Amino acid sequence: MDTQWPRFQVFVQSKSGAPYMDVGSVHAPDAELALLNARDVFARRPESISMWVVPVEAILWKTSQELRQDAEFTGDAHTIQPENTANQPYHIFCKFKQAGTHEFVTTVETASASAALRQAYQSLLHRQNALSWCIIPDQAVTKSDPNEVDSLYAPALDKTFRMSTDFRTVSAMRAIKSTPNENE
Amino acid sequence: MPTPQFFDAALTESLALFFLALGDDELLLGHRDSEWCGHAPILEEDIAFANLALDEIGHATYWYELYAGLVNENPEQIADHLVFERPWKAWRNIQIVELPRGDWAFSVLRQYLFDSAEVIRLEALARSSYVPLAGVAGKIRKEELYHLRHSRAWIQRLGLGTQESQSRLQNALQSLWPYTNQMWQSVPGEDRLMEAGLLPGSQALQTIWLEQTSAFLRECALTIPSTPPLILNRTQHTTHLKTLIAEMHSVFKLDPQAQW
Amino acid sequence: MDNETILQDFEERIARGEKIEPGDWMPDEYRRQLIRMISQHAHSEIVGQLPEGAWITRAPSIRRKMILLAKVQDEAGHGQYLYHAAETLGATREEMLEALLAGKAKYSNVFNYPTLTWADVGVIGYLVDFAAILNQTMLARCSYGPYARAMVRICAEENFHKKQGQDIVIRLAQGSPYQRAMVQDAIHRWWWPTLMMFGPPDSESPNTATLVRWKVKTRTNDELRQEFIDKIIPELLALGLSVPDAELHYDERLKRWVHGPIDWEELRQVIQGDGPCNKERMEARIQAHEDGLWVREAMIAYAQRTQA
Repeated sequence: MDTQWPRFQVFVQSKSGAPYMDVGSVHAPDAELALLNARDVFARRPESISMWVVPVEAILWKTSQELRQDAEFTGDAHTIQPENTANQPYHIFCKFKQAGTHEFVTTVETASASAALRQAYQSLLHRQNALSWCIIPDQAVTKSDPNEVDSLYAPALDKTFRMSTDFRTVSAMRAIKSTPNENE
Repeated sequence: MPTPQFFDAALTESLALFFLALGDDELLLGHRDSEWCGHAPILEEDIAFANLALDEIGHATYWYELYAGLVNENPEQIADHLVFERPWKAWRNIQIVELPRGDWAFSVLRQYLFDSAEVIRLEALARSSYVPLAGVAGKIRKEELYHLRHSRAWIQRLGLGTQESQSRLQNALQSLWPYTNQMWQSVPGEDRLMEAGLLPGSQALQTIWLEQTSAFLRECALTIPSTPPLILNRTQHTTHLKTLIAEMHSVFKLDPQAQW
Repeated sequence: MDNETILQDFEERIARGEKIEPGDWMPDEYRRQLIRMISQHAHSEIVGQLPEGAWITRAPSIRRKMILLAKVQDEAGHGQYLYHAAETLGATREEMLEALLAGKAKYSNVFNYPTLTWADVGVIGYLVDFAAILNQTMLARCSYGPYARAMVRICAEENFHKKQGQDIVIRLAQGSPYQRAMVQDAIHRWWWPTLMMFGPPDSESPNTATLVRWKVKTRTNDELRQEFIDKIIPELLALGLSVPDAELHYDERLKRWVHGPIDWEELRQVIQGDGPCNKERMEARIQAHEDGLWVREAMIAYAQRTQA
């Protein structure tokens, strides 16, 4: 059965201290290749110092419209019983601007993704501004090694031929337009 | 940049030829890699292999610039001059990189064999007493580490994947292995270059490479071929190179004086 | 809530400038049109690698070789972002590729023309990618979040594509007589196919009204085509190049360039698969796909075994 391989969502940190942001996904047979593919697909130009890849089926997505229609989230927090399993870290990502993307907000320790979403929803200071939510269990995340920035992400800095600023077409056209046309 | 005063003419010539050779290796490997663009097994690999090609071609320009520094040529024009204005017989690459791309197993294995050799070589070159060389080696090594990670991941998965992938990889290894000896053939004047601390000895590096590579390939369920190595000179080329160069030059030759 | 109210709410969200995300309610038609548009766009990028990719091995300088390689790589990347956007709507890449390779899915007809000379590489970057930029800049404001985000990313990268093409065209137009003739010939062959990229005239585009209301398109085919001509013609003329349109003239009253009639019959033929390169391009893609089957399967077999 031919497949195009499973999908992994990709989150990128553009510089030190910046939040990880959702940039899309890659197809890969496993997490190692997902990390390598994500580097080639999303870091050709210098815009990353660190990446996370997560199998798409591990992620819980909820838009604010979906939450408004879900009684669990419009009700009182205390009526919600946590499941009887061990807590683990879940990363909370939110989209705050219409034209924006999901960015990392915080990490909570709970027993499930939906419990994590409930907890974040109750406690987040500006939750009414969150247009969409994305919850990821930390154990599903494969992270790039910070010691490998030099081989993973630094090389993109030298590849200036990929930047439109490397071409002097504007000044060339200006020079041509200001001289009489020799071909007439 | 002026030729270092402590080099005599013979030493300079040997080192220059060394740089030219490495440049030719990388340029042709990058050229072969680029042929996969639009034809790879999956979209993500179209993108990944194009990156490998770009990196290798970039490396070639660094080696060519080092060459220019020793023969007093303009480093900004040297790469185009060497690549577009030399007939195929004047190239000094090893034969393994001029072979056609074959199937995916062939190209991925060739990349692995080259990458694994380069990483070992670059590590040693980074300690060269010739500062520009040490600098270039350090710079290229960053990218080669990524290449090696990529090729190792692929060889492991194809070797231990399905019966078909393993047998294709084994066939590729049968074809490629005899060519690998040439990667470590001593350059002319190597003894003197070693003495001057400019280059590491090839024999020692080959031993390390053989050990590491054989062990890894065996872990990937491959058998190291027992066929004898090909004894080749960098002045010897196959007709594959003739065809490659003819194609590569075809637009340039329409108007060699023109700016493109 | 009844269906009419739900639909009304949806359309009001869009009118307010809100983005629709994958989990939000959307009409089936919205989902269907988007999958169609996005996958068509993705296929165009993938097939689009081939006409220029063929020149990588013949690029006449190292710099041009690297630039072209990076550009074709970007096309693959754009296809990648777009397949992702379609996947968020429930389409799978397996289905989309199957439709493409079976000849059931469309892609931009402009990629069914041959690239006969090196100058074609420059002209594709300058004309075709500039036309794409105008279309994509509009789509970056589309109402569907994942598509808009993919388009923003693509627009940022596409700028380099147009500039490198323009750079080549400028160089050739100012070069030797041979080079000037080469680039003029390329312009002659790519001019009309580029104008046709913007799609049929508004009067013959049945989908446009709905797509505009749902902010999937925010400008019409004719509007974009006009913007393209108004921007590119003065530049081509300044370079001493002409386009194969005897009726092209500047209208002082309307303050815009007016072009001659477009041969839509040619477009119909090319879309139906009778273009100069349709067969060849599809064969190349089918070949790559089939040749790659053992690879894709092996990688999955390894993953399954090591995760078991």
